[in-house]
Amino acid sequence: MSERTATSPIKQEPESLLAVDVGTVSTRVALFDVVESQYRLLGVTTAPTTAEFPFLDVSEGIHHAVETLGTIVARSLLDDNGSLILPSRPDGNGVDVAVLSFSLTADVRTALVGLLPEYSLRSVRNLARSAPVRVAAEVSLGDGQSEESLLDVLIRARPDLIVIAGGTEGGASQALLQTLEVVGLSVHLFSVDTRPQILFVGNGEVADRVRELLKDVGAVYVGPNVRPSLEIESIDGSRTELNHRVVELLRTKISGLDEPLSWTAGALTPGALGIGTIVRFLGQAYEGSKGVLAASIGAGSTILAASFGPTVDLSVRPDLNLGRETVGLLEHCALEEIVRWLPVDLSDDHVRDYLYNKSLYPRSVPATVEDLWIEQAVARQLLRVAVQAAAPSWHLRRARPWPALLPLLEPILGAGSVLARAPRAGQAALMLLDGLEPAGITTLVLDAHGLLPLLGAAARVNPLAVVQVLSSSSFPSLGTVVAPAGRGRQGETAMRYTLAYESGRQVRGQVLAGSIEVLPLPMGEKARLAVQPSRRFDLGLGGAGHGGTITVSGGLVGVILDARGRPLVLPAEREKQRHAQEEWLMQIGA
Amino acid sequence: MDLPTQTHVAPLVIVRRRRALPLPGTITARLNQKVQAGDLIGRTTLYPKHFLIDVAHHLGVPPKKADQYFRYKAGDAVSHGDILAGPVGWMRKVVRAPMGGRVIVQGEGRLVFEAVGEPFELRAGLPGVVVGMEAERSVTIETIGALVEAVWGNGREEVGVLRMATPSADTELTPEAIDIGLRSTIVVAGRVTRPDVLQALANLPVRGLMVGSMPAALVPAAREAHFALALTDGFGMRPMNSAAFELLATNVGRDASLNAQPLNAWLGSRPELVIPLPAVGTADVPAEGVAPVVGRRVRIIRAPYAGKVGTIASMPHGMVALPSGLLAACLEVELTEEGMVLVPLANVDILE
Repeated sequence: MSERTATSPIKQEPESLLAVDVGTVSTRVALFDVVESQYRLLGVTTAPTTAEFPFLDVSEGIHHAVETLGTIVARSLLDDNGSLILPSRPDGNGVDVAVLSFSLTADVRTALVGLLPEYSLRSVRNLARSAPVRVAAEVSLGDGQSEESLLDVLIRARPDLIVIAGGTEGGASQALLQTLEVVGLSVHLFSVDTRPQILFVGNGEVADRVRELLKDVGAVYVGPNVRPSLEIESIDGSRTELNHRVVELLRTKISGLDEPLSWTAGALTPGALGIGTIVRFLGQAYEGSKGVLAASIGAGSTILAASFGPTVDLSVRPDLNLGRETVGLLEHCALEEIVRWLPVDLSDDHVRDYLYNKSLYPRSVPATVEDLWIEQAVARQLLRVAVQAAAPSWHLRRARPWPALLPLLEPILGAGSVLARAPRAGQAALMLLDGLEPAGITTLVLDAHGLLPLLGAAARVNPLAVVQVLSSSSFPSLGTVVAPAGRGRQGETAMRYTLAYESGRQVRGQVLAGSIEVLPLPMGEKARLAVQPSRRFDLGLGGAGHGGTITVSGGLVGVILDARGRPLVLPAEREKQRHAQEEWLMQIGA
Repeated sequence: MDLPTQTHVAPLVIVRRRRALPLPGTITARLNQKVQAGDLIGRTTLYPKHFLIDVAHHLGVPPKKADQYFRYKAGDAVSHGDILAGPVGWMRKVVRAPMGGRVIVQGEGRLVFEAVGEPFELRAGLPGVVVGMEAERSVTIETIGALVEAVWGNGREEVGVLRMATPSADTELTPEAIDIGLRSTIVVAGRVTRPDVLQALANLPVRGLMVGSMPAALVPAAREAHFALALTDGFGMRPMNSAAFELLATNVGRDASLNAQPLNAWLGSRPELVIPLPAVGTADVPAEGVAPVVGRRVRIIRAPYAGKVGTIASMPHGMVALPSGLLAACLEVELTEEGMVLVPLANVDILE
């Protein structure tokens, strides 16, 4: 049963909450409960996901993780039969409510069908990017392809899912129905057990005719029109439908979900949607003029969720990950674009071999310093490729202050093992700064325990717990970042600052162009930062050369003054690149 | 806790393999049939081309009226040039089949025609007995023999006599070591690093190559090669793991089936070499999902000991700080040359 059709409304806010997320490599479980009137994370642990051969049953990994969590929190969560104790017992064992999130990505082959390449096909492509699907074919009657070739393309793609868009609301329907005829014919040609699901996200006025036309060839689902008019793209509503279709398809491929679903009354939240929910929460909480961004680098996909108002822009890239598709990054960038982030001298061959080996052994971890640098270089480039593709289609409420850069963001959440398990907080911060290139003033926050999808699933049943955990130490700040746009000559002053601590102590200084400076400010402390950029730099405080005084919060790294300039330009020569990386790592304390 | 992966390097096991058609077709093998590696066990056609034919337009009649001129029913096979509809009028207009194929659907003056696609033949791949069948889809073949699983393959499949081309698991295969004696064989070597070696092997030609590793830069050339190529350990300069090398060395001269299929973690299929052997004593199906315990043989899959084989000496509790700075659950592994080393649990592969 999907999240929307779950029939277990929580009338009373539960106290203890068990959240489970089945990921591509790891299954994560976390227990939240009220401690001193506040929801806290009591414990979190992971176990290997057991979806793949030889287990082929995700419940094994879930049970293993829940059992281990019980040991950590000194509470029996499973009874003698291995079933979850639900609700909790008077002796404190068990939990009051459970939620389930599904972040695992598998090969969901998807064919995209649109009427016009520049309108409906483009929108359905953007829709597909918001779910963990692999686009196996794109077809459009409007790009000169014959019906026969469309038919052959669809058949060869062997899709699990066909997503069809076309027609504005109330617009013409003839061409759309003609396209649907071809789609219906192609589906008819598949054997019954391999027929794809069909999701229609076009002109809502013909939805009933679409159902009628295709009812004999397979399951037809309808979502809101992604292109209600030529000028407007609206994928928010259909995104939820698409993600649920994907999860339903994965459930047919992956066994072992029935028992955990019985814990949640059938509710299951796609992991990416959960992250989107949290970003929406934060957007509402901050209510500023800036946007909120979450960037997650996982073994299954790279996810970007950005919110600039009531909507969330979600980008899910299963083709960009630190798992079996690591080597796929080379389809999106040159090897040199990864190598340039290394602070050590490693040959191109060595790095290429690393990417291929990581794809063979996705669970493996970097044991040597060289391997760690490569993994972190890959993480930077994954973020850059994902952002470059996603950011142009974000729905901003106001114009970007710098067209070539990201819009102003507050905060930026970083998630994924490569960030959360980085040996030093400065490494995580530098990966985010290099990968995303935020400009202006922002805060970097780390999802230290991989809780974002778990909390996204929990938001449905206990939003209070989500809000309280989000503001807890489970999401430590890496620090405030001050990163002006612009570029100065190496060695000249980029900005001057005065940091006034709460104790009354003051620190003054200047940051040279091309460098990073970190001002110590521990977690939980605040200070007043007066910053004055040079004329070549713009902090978003009124134009180039305009400064101001802001309140900054401490973090694991401190206050990060990044005067390397935006856009970030790396030296062209390999030796100078290495030297720069080495310097920046040292400057940020990594 | 991390879960190590597992690789089978076994001298005598029961090997059951499902051989499936890429698309539904005809299974020609029978249950309990003895098959040789090259035997045909099924066939189908790939990627048939489709034609949407506007019969009414071609015949010059209204769509409703056109249906009465159809000559075949849906599903009927037709040959190139056969009349699909017509004749109509004094000019005796007809619509002919553009090539051999079959009629898929027809009605309202239109007809969908499917041309015969590219034929695909499924071979047994290894000698054995057919122990399972799935109509129109697959055959399961069972054999007894040695099994060496690999991690990467170029997608080809070949059968041939096994030959060793390097004296040790760490020796690189060079053009000088390639002679006519390797022709039509499956060649085993420590590693390969040069494209001219692949070219020399193709020129002989050989049937297959199984090596410990090769640089990833050779992947395009390996994919182009007309022989099966499988890596037992990965990319780079890794030696072949000693367990695999020693097992292969003891089977020189025997027939072997090298299936260099891509690794599929979901299905558990991976590139492998099977050496059918006469059943002496008892053989079992290889164990799956084996837990890491003291005494178990493992191979290390990441630097700094990539490719080394050792045994688990102990399993320390808690997390250990690695040279990289990461914290990870580790195993103490005893290696022949390096002695006792700490290795992340996630970086070992159990050899079973």
